[in-house]
Amino acid sequence: MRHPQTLRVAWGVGLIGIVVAVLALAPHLGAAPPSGAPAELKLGFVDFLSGPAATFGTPGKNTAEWLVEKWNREGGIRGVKVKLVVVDESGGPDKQVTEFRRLALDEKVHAVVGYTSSANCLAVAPVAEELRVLTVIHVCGTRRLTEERQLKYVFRTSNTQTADSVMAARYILAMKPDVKTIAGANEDYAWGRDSWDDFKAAMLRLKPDVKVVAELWTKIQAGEYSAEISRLLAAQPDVVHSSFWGGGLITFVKQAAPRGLFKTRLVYLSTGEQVLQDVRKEMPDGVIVAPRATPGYFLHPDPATNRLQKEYVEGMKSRYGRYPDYPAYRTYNALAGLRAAYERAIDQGGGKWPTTEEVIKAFVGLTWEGPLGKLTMREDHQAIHGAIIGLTKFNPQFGFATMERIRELKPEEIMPPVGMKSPDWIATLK
Amino acid sequence: MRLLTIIVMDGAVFAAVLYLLSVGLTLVFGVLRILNVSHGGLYAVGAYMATSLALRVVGAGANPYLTYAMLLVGPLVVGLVAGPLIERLFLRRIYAADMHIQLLLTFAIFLVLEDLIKLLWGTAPLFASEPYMLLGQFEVGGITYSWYQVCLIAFAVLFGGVLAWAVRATRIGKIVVAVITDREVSQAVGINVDRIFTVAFTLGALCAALGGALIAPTIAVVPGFALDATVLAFAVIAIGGMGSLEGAALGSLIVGLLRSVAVHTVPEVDLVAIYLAMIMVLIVRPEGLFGQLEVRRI
Repeated sequence: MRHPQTLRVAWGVGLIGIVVAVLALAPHLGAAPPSGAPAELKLGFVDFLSGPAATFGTPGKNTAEWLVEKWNREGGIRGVKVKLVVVDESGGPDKQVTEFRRLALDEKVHAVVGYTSSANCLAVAPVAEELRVLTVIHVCGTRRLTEERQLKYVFRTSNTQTADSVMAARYILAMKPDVKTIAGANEDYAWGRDSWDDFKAAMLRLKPDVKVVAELWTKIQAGEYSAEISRLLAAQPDVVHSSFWGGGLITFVKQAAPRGLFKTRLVYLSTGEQVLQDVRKEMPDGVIVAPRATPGYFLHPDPATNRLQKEYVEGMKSRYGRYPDYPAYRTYNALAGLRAAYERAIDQGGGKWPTTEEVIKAFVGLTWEGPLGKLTMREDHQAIHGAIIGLTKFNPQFGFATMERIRELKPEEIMPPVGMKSPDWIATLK
Repeated sequence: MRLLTIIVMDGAVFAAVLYLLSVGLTLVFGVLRILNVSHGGLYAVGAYMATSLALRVVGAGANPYLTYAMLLVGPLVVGLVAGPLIERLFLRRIYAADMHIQLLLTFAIFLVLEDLIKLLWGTAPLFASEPYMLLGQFEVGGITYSWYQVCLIAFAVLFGGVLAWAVRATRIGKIVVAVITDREVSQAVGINVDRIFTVAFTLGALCAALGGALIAPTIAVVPGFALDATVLAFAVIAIGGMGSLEGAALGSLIVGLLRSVAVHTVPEVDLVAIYLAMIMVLIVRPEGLFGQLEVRRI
C-alpha cells in the first residue's frame, strides 16, 4: 500500500500534467467560433505569379501561404480557418477587374488582399467599392490611390511611393549636403513618373540650387539600358535616382556596374533591397538601397531580439530557401492588419462574427504589430509606418550585400498628413 | 563629335541585340510565310538553357572561359530539338490555314514555352555574368563600355555575313531562295519543300535561341523577359521588309540608332521614336525597305 502523501503528490503531478496538456492542445482544438461565423474565412490573394514581375509576386504568395497555414495550425482567426484563393495579377488592369468580379461574385470571398502594380490597384479600387468587397492593398505604391479618391471598402497597409522619394532626399542630403546635380532613370508609367517627380520636388525643395541634368524614361522591364547608362555617365550627376524594380533592376545593375556608374556618384535604388539576394556579389558597395519605405528588412530589427521577426525569417528561409524581402513583409503586414481588424471587430461586437462594415469600422485607427514593428491605419484608409534606408556592403556571411549605415525615419518625416496631397506637402518640406 | 561617337556606339550595341533576335523571325517568315510569335519563346528558352549551363560550369569550379562554349551549346540543343519538333508536330498542319490560325497557334506555343520555363527553372531571376565580366572594359569618349558589347556587335556582323553568304553561295541557300521566291514552282522542279520548311524553321529556332543565349549574360533572365523584345523584333522586320535578311540588318540599325539618338537628345520620345519610324516607312513603302510586293496568283 502506498503512502497517502505519495498518493497526493502523484495526483497533483497528474493534475498538473492534464492542465498542461489541455493548455498545449487548446490552440489546436480552438475555442468555439463567434456566433454567426462562416465555416471558413475565404480570402482572395492577388499577386504576380507569371511574367517578369513574378520575382516580386512569388515572395508575397509564399508569405500568404506560410502565414495562413500557421494561423490555421493555431486555430484560425478566433476559431475560423482561413482559406486562400490565389489569383495571378499579370494580364493588365482589364483582366484584373474581371478577376476581381469573379472573386467577389463566383468565389464569394470575404475579402481580397494583394495588388502590386499601381495600374492594377487603381483599376480595381472602384470595382471593390461598387461590389462592397473589403480589399486590402499590400504593395501598390501610387499615392493617387488614397489621395485622389474617397475609399470605404479599400485600405492600403503600406506607405506610398512619396515616402520612398522623400526618404531618399533626406538621406542623400544628410550624406552629401553639397550635392549639386541629380539625374533620374525610371520606367515610363505612373510608378516611375510619380517616384521621380516626388524625388525631384523634394530635392529641389530641400536644396533649391540642385540642377537636374538628365531625366530618362524606359519601357517597363526594358532589358537593355546601354544607351541610358551612357547618357548617365556623360551627364556626370552627383546623384542618380532609379525606381527600376525586379528583373529590370537586376539587369540595370548588371549592365551599369562594370561600366562604373556606381563608382564616383551616389545611386539610389528605391526597391534595391528586393534584389540583393539575387544580384549577390555583383551589387557594388556604397549604393543607397531601401526596401522602399518599409520599417526594416530581414536583419533589422535583429531577429534575435524580436520573436515575430525570428519566426518569420526562419520560417520563410527554411521553407522557401530565401529570406523575406519587402514585398513579402508588406504581404505579412496586410494579412496581419486584416486579421487584427477582424479580431477588433469581434471584440467590439461583443463576440459575434462581424459584418464587412463592422470590420471596416474596426480597421480605421487600428494599430497592429508586424515582424518589423507597429503600423497604424488612418481614417483615409492609408496606413503609415516608419522606414529604413542604407548603403550596400557585401556580407560574406550571406554571400550577398546587406545594408549598413542604416537610418530610421519616422512616418511623419516621409508621409503627408491626412487630407494633404503629396505634391502640396512636399512643397512645405523642411 | 564625342556625343556622336557615343550615340553610334550605343546604337550599334542595341542594333546587334535586335538583329540577333529578328533575323530568325524574318527567315521563317520568308520561307514558311508564317508570322512566328513563338520565336520569342525560343529566344527565352535559349537564354535560360545557356545561362543554366554556364552556371553549372561556374558552380563546378571549371575554367570560367568555358561559359562562352555554353553560350553556343545551349542554343544549339534548343534549336536542334525544339525546331524540328515544333515544325513537324504543329506548323505542318496549318500552312494552308488562315493567317489568324497561324498567329493563334504560334502564340499558343509561345505561352506553352513560357510555362515550360517556369516549370523547369522557376520564377527566380537567373544570371551568369562571367561571360560579360571576363572580357573587361574600355573607354570611348570618356564613357566606359564592356568588351562583351563589342563582341556582340562583331558576332552580329559575322553572323549576318555568314548567313548572307550561305543563302547566296551554297546549294541549300539557293534552294531556300527558290522556295522563298515561288513555293509552287520549286515543288514542280523537284525541290522537297517540306524538308526545306523543316530546315528553315530549325535555322530560325537556332537563331532565336542563339540570340537569347548571347544576350543572356547582360541581363537578368526572368519569366516573360522576351515578350517586349519580340514586339520590337516585329517592328524591326516591318521596317526592313518581312522575309528579307538585309532588311533585318537595316531595320535593326535604324531602330538601334534612332533609340540611341532619342535617349541622348530627347529622352521623352525614346519609346515613340521607334514606332514613328515604323509608321513612316510603312506609309512610304508598305512592304518595308527591302520587302517585295507579293504578286497575286490565281
